[in-house]
Amino acid sequence: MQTDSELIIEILNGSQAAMEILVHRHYDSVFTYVFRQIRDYHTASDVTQDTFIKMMKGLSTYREHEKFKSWLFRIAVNCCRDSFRHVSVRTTREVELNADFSDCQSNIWDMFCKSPEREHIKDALESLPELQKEVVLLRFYHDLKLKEIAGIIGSGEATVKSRLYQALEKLKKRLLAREGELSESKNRFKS
Amino acid sequence: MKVKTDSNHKRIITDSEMAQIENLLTHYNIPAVSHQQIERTVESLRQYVPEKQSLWNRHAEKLADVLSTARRDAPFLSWGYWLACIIFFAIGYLIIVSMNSNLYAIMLLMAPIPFILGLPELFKGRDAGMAEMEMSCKLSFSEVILARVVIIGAYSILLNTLLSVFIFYAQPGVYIGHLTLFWLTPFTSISAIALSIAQKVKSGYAVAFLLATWTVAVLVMQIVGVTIVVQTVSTLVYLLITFFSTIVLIYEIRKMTDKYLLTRERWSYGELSS
Repeated sequence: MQTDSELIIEILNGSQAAMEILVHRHYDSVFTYVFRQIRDYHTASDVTQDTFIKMMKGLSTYREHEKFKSWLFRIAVNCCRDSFRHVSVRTTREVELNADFSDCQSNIWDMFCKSPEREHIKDALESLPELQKEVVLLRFYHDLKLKEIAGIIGSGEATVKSRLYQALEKLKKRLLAREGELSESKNRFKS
Repeated sequence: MKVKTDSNHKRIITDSEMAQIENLLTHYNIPAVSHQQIERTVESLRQYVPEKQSLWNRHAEKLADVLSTARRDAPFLSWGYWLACIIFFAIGYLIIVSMNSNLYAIMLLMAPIPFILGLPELFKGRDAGMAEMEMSCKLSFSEVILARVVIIGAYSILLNTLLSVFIFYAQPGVYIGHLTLFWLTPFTSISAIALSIAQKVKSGYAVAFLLATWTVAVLVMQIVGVTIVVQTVSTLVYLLITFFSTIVLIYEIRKMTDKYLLTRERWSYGELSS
């Protein structure tokens, strides 16, 4: 299998096939990150596409000292941040309209996304401040090391560590407390 | 994962809590995206793929890049290096002309010296522990290394050619072709060995070792009369040694530049997924 670097060299030499392979290889992980951040299927698709367009535009500036995945995630993180700035000025009315015109694909997604446990975790992640959420997503869902995350979000390793611990502390309170409640109610039901 | 503690060393999250959180987070999974969705993105990206270039154009462009980098990097090489090489060659020329000593032995000795002396310039970033930083610069570190090899190689060839021309005019009865072969063969072979050694040890040690070994080797060859025998060796043998040494030299240069590309290879998808 060709490495990312080999594919990039081929893309820069004009290979469409190499671009397809590179996009197929990384699309899922970028989309899942963006979706967990944005929580809207259409916006997540747009932001993912935007991430890949920015990747293509900046491919010649990519330097081999950095892992490609980290480089790509840095673009994704910045695209999400840009999107949040955009979304914050959108009115509730617009969101409602979008919901009305949502297509079949997003309905399937909505159905998938409605499991109570999943909703609870989503809410718990949602309760985190944006910067802490970023770190949690990159650490737990994309298996990135603290040093890599620091490079992606443009902060020091100590900052990443601190954000992660603060986030975990909050998640512990929210997630484990509910777990405790559930097991208590189960016990009561049994007795 | 170990137990996390805050600044007052109070226990915050235990291993089991950590495992529980990690386990719970896995429930927030996302289904795989559809093939059509990826294809839509692929189609929108096609316009950003550069025009396909012919192999010849690609190589020509790469060569132009390396030469341009070499032109930019040349002023940053230590003036001591430029000067030391000129002084060495001037002394060599004076010895040949004034002392009437064996010019072939002197040529043999002088030929690889500019390349050997250039090793610290080639590896100064690495030796100073700055390779990581240089790799993050606008130019790829491997491009810079390649450009420096070009500078040092070109300078070595220039000095050796000039010495051959001066000797040709100063010493009647000397064949320029023979002189050229006599510096080209040790230049290519010793440079290949030098590059191989310098990649393994600090360039300062490599220079000291190579200069001492090469000087002693030439002196011994001169004392036991090998340099006279060497002069009678067929041109074909010289050409074969030069050809083989050039291949080894190119291999060593490639290995060296690849070493700095390896950073990205280590982070390749294949290794990540394994």
